[in-house]
Amino acid sequence: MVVIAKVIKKASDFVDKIGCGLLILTMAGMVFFSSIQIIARVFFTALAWSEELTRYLLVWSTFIGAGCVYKRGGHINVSFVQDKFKGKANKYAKILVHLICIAFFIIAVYYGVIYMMKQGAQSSPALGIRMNLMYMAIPLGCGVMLLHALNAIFEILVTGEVAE
Amino acid sequence: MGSILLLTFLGCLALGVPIAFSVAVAGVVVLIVGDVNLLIVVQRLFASSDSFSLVAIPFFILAGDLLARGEMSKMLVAFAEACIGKVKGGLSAVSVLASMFFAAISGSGAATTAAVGTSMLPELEKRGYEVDRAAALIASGGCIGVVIPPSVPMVLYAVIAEQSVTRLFKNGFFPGFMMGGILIAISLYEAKKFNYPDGRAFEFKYMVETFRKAVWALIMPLIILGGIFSGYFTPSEAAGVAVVYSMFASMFIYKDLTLKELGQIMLGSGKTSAIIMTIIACSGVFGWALANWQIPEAVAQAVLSVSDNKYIILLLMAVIVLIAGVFMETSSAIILITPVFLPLVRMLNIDLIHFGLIFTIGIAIGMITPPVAIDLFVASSITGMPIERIAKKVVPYLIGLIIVFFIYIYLPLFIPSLIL
Repeated sequence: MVVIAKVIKKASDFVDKIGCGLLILTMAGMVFFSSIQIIARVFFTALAWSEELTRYLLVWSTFIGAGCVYKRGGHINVSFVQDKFKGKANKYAKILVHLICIAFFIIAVYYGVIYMMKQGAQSSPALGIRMNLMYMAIPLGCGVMLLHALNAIFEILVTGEVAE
Repeated sequence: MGSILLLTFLGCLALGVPIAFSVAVAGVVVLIVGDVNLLIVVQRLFASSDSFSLVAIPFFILAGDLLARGEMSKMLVAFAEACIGKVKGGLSAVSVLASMFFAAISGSGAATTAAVGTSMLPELEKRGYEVDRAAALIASGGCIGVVIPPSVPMVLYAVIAEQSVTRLFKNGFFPGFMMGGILIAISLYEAKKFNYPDGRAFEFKYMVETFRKAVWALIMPLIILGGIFSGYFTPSEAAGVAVVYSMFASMFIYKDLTLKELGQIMLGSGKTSAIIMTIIACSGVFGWALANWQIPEAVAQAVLSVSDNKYIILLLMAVIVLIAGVFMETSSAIILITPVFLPLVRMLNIDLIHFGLIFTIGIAIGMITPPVAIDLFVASSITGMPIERIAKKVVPYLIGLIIVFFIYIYLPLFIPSLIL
């Protein structure tokens, strides 16, 4: 089990590094393209595609960022009931929380892929990009969170400690 | 369906599942019970985060984070102090003014508290103010951050209630100034009571000097708010301008920001915004279930069967908002409660802009009421003082803000022209 835990940890750390990099890129991208939009409108003619692109970057930054936050246990929760459990019970309660999240991520990944295949052939109205590139943010982001959640469970099981 | 939705949500929440996923899981469970195709989950996740109005959220957070750490806030504070002159306890009044000013640049309470706190608290301590009381005042001033525009909670409310962000922003000034006014009044009274030192004597030369340094910060609200209200920028574009402006000012005028730091700040703001955006995306699933089974309408009918008096129901909603603010984080409270209240507000013919402001102020007050009190957390991490100690000193300010809250709830009902 220790070996599996190590592999998962490596994968989770690696994916997280990429995720954080991409998050900075999407943030910078949103700032850049909305600036271009204003400059173009004031000095030249209004752009048709910049708003759409910024919106899609927001969707991507949401689901990539959600992974970075999940990795650090940063999603807001209510912990006072959980804190009442001590020792082993606390450990199992924390694992249960990750398992519930995993159940949701599995649904999001599974139906996300189906949705991509069903609707993805359409092109976006202004950019003309295939929509499955946009929809991909959801299964991919939730898949990353699934990996982080698995990693968190293994960490609790192997070290007995909870990563913050 | 309503009870399954609520029980699953509360069950997950109590276990410690993050709010975002508690909402999503509750939505999914109800969809499965109701035999609805789960493709709607993905469709809602996408559609609820795919909105240009919401782009304002990462931008206002980023602009706030850029300013909170920078030289710009120190310059502003120096200028505010130079203007106020020799008043007893003048520096605490300055901190409220600085909070109000920052509120006009940043859209969040935490950023406002951080900006004013990091630049003012060391100075207040040096001059012999009680640090816990000063921290409490600055944390309370942080509440104004989301009431005076721009404001992240208002953007959230506007998107959910389908109202104009610009109109909400316009209506933020009046209650925001009332909040600032009452905080200044209380702080000056305390200055007398505890014999705080006088402010720096007024010198015209010093004022001009600080003005010259602060001018780059001072024109920022003119650009952001002027741009929005003149219709020149959309609120999201204005937020983008705020980011670019504070980036340039920090890098080239105040020279306290490197590219590497910029990346780190973007990462931090990206995460903060992702926390809010994940809740929004997931609440799309929840919201679909609410709407599909017309749960908010049922709630509204139930409430109206008890009383249909506008004033009493507003009081009830105000108390619920205040209590929600005690236990819930600002954005989650807005995202989750707004759709439940909307039909009731509509049936009672309450102006949705007025209600949005009531909601924003009520939830802003929640930022200084523990256990969940973001402004107190920020103030505590700046001073290194335990939250409980600051929380004790917050009481008079809290009472003042609640009084303003209730005045603002009822005043526009008698003077409708107060709602612009």
